[in-house]
Amino acid sequence: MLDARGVAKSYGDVEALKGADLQVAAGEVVSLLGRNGAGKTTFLSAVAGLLAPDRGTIKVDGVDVWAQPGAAAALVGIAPQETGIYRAVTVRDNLGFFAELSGLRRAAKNARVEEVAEQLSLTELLDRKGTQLSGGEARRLHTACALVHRPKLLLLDEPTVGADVATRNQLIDVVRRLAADGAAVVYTTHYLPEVEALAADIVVIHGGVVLARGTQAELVDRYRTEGVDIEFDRPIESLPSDVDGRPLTANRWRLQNVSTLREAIASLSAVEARILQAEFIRPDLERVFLEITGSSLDDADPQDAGSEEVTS
Amino acid sequence: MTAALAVSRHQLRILKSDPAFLVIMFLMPLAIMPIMREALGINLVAAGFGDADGAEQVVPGQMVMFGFFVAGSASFSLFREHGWKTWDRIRASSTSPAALLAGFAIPWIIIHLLYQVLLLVVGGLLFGLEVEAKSLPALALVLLGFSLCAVAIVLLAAATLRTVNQVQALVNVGAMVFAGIGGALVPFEQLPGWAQAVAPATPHYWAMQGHRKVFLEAGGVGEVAKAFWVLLAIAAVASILGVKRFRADETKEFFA
Repeated sequence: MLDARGVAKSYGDVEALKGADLQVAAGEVVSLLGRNGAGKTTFLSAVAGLLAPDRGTIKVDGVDVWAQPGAAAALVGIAPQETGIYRAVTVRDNLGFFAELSGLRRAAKNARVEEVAEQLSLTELLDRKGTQLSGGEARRLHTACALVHRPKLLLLDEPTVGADVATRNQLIDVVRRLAADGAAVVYTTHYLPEVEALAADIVVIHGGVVLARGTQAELVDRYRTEGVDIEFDRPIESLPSDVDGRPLTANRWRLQNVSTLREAIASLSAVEARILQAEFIRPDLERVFLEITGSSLDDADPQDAGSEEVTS
Repeated sequence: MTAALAVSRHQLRILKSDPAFLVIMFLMPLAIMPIMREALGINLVAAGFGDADGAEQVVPGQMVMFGFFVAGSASFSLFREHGWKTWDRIRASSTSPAALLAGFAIPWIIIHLLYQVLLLVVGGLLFGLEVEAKSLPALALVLLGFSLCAVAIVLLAAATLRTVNQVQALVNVGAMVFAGIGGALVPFEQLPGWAQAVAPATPHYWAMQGHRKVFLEAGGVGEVAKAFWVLLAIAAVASILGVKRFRADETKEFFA
């Protein structure tokens, strides 16, 4: 359904996308996982025909997005990152407007508005003004507006930002149902629990490039780095010969083939330096992301990523 | 055209949800008219229109001046989409830039026309402004020409400028300056020489020339033809420049 190849886009000197590739089949959900500034939004904007790429090709169901924008627009639905609804008018008017923009009229429009409202649990709110909606309800309406014209490719840019847990679960459920009905969905997020809940293919994007793709299990298996990171109070030149480890820095070493902290620390009894800290490296998605990109999903220091730690 | 009409209908729905601005723009000139009417009547008599009582100047004059403020809302509605983060959603529907501009222009042309008609009717009833039946088609042309012209100029400003504050400043200053120089505030004969010299450069001058032909001279279509064609020409030039300058992917800033 989506075939994007070599998509590049720069803003002045900043290269937001450096030749990103992504293929998504009908009925498939792909989680585009990356830090803020990784290029997720730029990529979605290019696919939605909102931002012309500097190079590369983007086809949706065989239609070139930039050569045939009208035909492509009918195939793509996008819910941008920031909530964009008309608060001055009713939920019905919001949905009706986007239905009209897609060419639906009267009975067809009204039927489709009811249908989408039901999908997003907005039926009871149809005659309520946007100003009267809660944050979660507004977010659901925001997503619903992208569905009105029955897009074959749905682009959801961090759809659960600011949403409560119930709305988040509801949106994930909607995404699953849309995929089951044959839509291709690209879902950007940097919330790992959401990625896990979607059970979708994960595409890791970093620095404007797609670095890896696979299911959570595949990625964890491919990039697993089970082991223990040990921080000493002084530089260490080598470990005992029976210990499998490699230096990360002069003071910090990674021990492999150990299954517990106790086992790791015991294996270092012959080392004269004091152990300041020992960190068990879990083979989870966050760690996989760190392995692939060299940085954590949040903006903090990559070394601060979730882990089990003991300090001497 | 379908998308343009969808945008137009939606703009009208939004306006219907909060018509306070239009109500104020309607009441303001009606409040000013009785204050200025007598003085303007004296000016018109001095200018050679012996039967004039001031309504012939104050009603169309105030309508033309405040009408430009009303047209200014066309630009506001366009910038507002950026503030509401709905602009990209409309763009994603692949509506062409020209259709988008048309979608924002059409409702405001209609509103501006209705505004003028309503103000003339109410102003006429309250202040005794009369129009000969034979002048009605001419009056319709002048009203239409000014509506097209005002909305086109305002949308050209919206297409060119980056922030809503810039556009609002331009519309506000433009409305006052054009009204003053164009003879909407006082009869053209009362303007200083330099203002009379530059007045034809303003759409307000041509609108007021048309209204004078209708209300002071009971003129027909032939008498207002020049004013109408000039207004139409300004509207056409502004529209062409607006469409040429307008870039849907340009970021506009909305501070409100």
